[in-house]
Amino acid sequence: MAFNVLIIDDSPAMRKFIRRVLTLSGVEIGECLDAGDGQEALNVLQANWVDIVLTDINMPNMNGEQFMERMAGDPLLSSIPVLVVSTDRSDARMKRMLGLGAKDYLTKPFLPEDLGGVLGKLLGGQAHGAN
Amino acid sequence: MEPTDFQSLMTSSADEVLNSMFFVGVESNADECAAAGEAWMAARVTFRGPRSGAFGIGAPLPTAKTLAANFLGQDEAEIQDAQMEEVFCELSNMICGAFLSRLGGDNVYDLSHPVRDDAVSQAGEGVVCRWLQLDEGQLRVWVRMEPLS
Repeated sequence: MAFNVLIIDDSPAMRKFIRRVLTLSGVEIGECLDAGDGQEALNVLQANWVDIVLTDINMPNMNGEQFMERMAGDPLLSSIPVLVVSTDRSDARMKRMLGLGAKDYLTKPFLPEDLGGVLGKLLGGQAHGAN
Repeated sequence: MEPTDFQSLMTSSADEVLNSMFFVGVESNADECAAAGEAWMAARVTFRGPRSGAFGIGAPLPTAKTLAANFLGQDEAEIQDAQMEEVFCELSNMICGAFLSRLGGDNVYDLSHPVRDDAVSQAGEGVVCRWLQLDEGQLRVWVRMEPLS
């Protein structure tokens, strides 16, 4: 089974890095969509179904917290698992994002195998190839 | 906290980021730039929290291009200037985040969007800087802390 992924990060370089890591993770990736901020991501989600969202926090226009609030308020979108990928390592920020419904929190920098491992956990037994 | 403490935190922060996502190690601290006069790439980010200030990095273009190629998984010959700038901005953002987490424990900081820095070097009151010798080239890391109010 291939999983559709949405990557939200205002850095094009980081989006490309994550996309590359995903392809090497062993998780079978279907469509890999991306967005530069939360509002752009909501627009993408109006037209596409994804199996998991990876989002940064610190972004212009609509940041990761605001995006999570909008996700939580939508019955359909709230069922999509969200992995936060951020430079912010404070417990307070992690608790806030998990409280908004994020399934897990990965801090930058991360090892490529760390992302594969978290994805495998979040996508359950269907992601057999994950580390 | 003394400037030497900041320098130590900058070194360990840069080493963590470069090792894990750029596949480059920090070999040692360098006394000065061995590539004076070369074209340069630099980026900076500002931060607000229990301590506020600015954090930046800089490197000769060949080093910046190598780092961008490693991060993006491309050949150096394919790397465009815009990509190099994007990667360098992201690198400054991540090293700053790692630095602040070492500095502030569980404090929450707000970071600005990282930008390319036109100034080749940062100097002046309150600026602490360190040159790092990488596997390939050198990286300059600096921080300027605003005085505690």
